[in-house]
Amino acid sequence: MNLDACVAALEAVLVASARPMKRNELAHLLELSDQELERALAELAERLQRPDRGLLLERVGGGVWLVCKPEFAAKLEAIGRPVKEGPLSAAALETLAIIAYRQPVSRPAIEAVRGVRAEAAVAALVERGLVAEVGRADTPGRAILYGTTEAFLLHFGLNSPDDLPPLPEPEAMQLDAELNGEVGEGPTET
Amino acid sequence: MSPDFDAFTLAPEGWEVELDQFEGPLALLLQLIRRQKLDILDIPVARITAQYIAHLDAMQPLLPELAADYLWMAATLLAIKSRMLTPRPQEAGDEDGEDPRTELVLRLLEYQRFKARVPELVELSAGRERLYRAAPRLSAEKRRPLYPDPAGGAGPDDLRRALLERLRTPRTPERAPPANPIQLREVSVFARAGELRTRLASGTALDFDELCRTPGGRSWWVVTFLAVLELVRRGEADVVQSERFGPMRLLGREGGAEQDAGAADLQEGSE
Repeated sequence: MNLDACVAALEAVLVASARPMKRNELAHLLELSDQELERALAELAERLQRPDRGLLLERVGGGVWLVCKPEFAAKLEAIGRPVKEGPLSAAALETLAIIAYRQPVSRPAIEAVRGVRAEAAVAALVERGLVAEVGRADTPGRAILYGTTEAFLLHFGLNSPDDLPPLPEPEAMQLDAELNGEVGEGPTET
Repeated sequence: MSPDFDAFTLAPEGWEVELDQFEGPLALLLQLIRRQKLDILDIPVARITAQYIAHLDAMQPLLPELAADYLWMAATLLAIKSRMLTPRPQEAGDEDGEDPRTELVLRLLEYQRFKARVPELVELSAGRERLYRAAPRLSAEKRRPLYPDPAGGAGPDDLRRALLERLRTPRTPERAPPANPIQLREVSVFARAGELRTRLASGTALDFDELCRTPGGRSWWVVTFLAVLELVRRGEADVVQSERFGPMRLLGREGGAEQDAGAADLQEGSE
């Protein structure tokens, strides 16, 4: 397949696909080598960026997909019925952060960090599809373990949870100017 | 009272309790620490404890019952405070001179680690709500029949259609309610099913439409319908339909060979 044909095939498949498609899925489907696929994806991405195109190629959720450019959001909202959910509460976001960085993690472990019961927050996140049960702990009690989902990655524009900003070490927190309003001192000797 | 205790005004108005109750005691403590620019590694426990408890008192009218976690934290703070005031006898496993605040401080730091990620997450998702795509089509799911389909058997859709037809058909005189309104006839699904069972036992197939045309008003044939469903559910009868949208028949299943023979006869004409 020549480049134009590859680009066209990619566009057709990605418009129709329900979720981001992994690169190996695409390569297999279109019978391309990894390099050919990469080249076609780069070409498609570039062409889409031009002002006469309405879509964008996004690399997200471990794959690629097409989305409408944000400048057309208002028009789309006028014709469609966008699925809009309310914002997440601070409690839910904190819980989500704990799950995202610590996954797989159990509810008691989440509660130990937050200092409050996490049942409601976890339930809300499961309801939104941002987290899901990913297994059970080996320890007695076999607590349910939670992890983030593909929808989580899509919501935050990530390819994988590893793409999250790194978690600072606890010792570094003492130097957090935000927390103390001034640069903190070194650890006090007890 | 520790001499360090600061007579702060703890009036809630001055403090803007922004926290909603579900953020938790650690969040409240962090806010107290941050607001007063305290060193988290050297928390003035007496002061913080007094302020924390004053906050709980202020929140009390808003929350009928304070979450146990808040109360637990109050108890923890009081325990730390008392440990700092009174020298404790050495217990096995205690390190020399361990700061009683250490565990709490570690928890606060750990909580702060994740709390600080929240603005980052919000930033990551900012604007993404304007990236739209078409919702995926639902794949045309193959419909699996709910019941095993005897050859030429009527399915739940057929039964439902028949029921709806009955509901829509205008009343004919023969289905009018009894002239004497006081006379209430009680019908039970159980009794009707028993009656049908008896009739089916003789080997006859009952015509579904006929069954429903029995006079007695809507409640009567709703009961009949339920009785039919009950018989089918228990495996005592089958609803058979020899052609699409054709008349349905009720056929007894249990019993001797006569029933089976009857069933085979009817199935010949099936699709």
